[in-house]
Amino acid sequence: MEKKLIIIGAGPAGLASAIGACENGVAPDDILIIERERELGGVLNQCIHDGFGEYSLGKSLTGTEYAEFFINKVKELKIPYLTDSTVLSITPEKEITFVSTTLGYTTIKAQAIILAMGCRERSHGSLRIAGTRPAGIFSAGTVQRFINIDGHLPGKRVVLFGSGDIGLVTARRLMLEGAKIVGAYEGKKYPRGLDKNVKECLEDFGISLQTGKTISKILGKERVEGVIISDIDENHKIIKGTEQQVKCDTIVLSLGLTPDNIISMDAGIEIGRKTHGPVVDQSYRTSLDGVFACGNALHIHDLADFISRESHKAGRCAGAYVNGKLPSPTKALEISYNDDIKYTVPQKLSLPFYDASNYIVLSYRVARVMQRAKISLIVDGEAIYSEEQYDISPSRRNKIKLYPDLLAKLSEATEVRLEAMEV
Amino acid sequence: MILTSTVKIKSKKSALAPVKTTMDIPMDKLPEAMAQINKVQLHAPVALGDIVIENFIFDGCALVVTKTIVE
Repeated sequence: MEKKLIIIGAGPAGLASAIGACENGVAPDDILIIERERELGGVLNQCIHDGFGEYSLGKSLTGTEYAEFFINKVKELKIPYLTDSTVLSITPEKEITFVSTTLGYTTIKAQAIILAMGCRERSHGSLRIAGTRPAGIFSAGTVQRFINIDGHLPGKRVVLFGSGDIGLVTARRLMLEGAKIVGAYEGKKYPRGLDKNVKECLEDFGISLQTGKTISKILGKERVEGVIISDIDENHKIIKGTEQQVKCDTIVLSLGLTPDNIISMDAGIEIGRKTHGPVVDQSYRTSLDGVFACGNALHIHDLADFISRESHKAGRCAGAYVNGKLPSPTKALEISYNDDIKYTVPQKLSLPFYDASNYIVLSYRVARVMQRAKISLIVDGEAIYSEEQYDISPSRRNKIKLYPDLLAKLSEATEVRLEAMEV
Repeated sequence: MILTSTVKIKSKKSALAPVKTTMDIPMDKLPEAMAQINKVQLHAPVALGDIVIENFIFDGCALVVTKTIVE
């Protein structure tokens, strides 16, 4: 079997990229979406909470409603998809091997691939918490799935550790279903998730998030019986004498997400050291010709809306590639940055630009909390764009839209640099 | 806040159907709302937007299904 474009993953990224490719001239039958779960939608199926679509659809929907909007569009366009099918590997020749409940062990060749596998939750294994490993320790997404899809309440007295958005909305679900949040702690000095979620999911329920604290020990043998909470200093060292015991039967960990790129790495695709996703140019091209990446597999996004927008563009670019309309790069410009920037996506610009009449989004995260910062895009030593940003932190993605006038300057450039300066 | 939760459903593949309120529910009404939601039993098929309970908690507010479950 052969397909022009294969999309790995049918979450918000995979669905929007399929629509983008189709709208940019790829025939639906030339596309195949491969999904591991038994239905389309990805993690949105367990996101029953409200707040999706405010940016991309202009109304607030639940995750499941938001997914259905894109699923219906994919079905209307008659884009073929496979569910219950797990991709095992991709090769530099763009052969995709997967196992499927209907097709068994299968290999398909593609002209182009879009990596839209999404992300995984960071586990507590990386946390080095002392003590035993009893039952009752879960990642937030697992708990969300237990409650919203399987209908199980995993515990009654819950400690939330970490303040990612999934942890926050899951804490609210736990409370609504009758569990008690006996403590909410975050190691960093600021919440990882959106301020809106800290307020609506914890503070409105009378829970305050305590920052600068860590679980220094887990208690219990068969089942979690409690935790020891300690203050930590700037170097993440536990401050002796601050220990405090909290009784609980469940620990929910919300430590952030990391892109899922096992198959990308096996194929030899270059992975960004900071993003943990493929290094891409403004057309979402990875280091492997004809392989594109978008969504949380590329870098972790704050909102599904941003994933849909980005992935729609990635799909358009992959579509242009399939139809021979995406210009081959004649020159690549690495985007360098100073210490106060954590990363940028794209990491590089390829010249010439495809569709230079449209804008390009340069996403970035800063490396530390800053009350007021001047962000400058510097081309060959001269700032071609600058703006001031207030209250920026690494937990929020920022962006600069590069409009055609800036693209014109960039296409002549030899050096591009993004700088954040506290002012 | 818009209250979102799940209700039981008899279906081939799903144990639960997600639901939401069409209007904000005040914080002090949440326990009552959850108690009512937990009594609901649906049968597939259901479509996104189907009304589960009319005049939910107060007049003009409805509890609606937020996912199509075909079988």
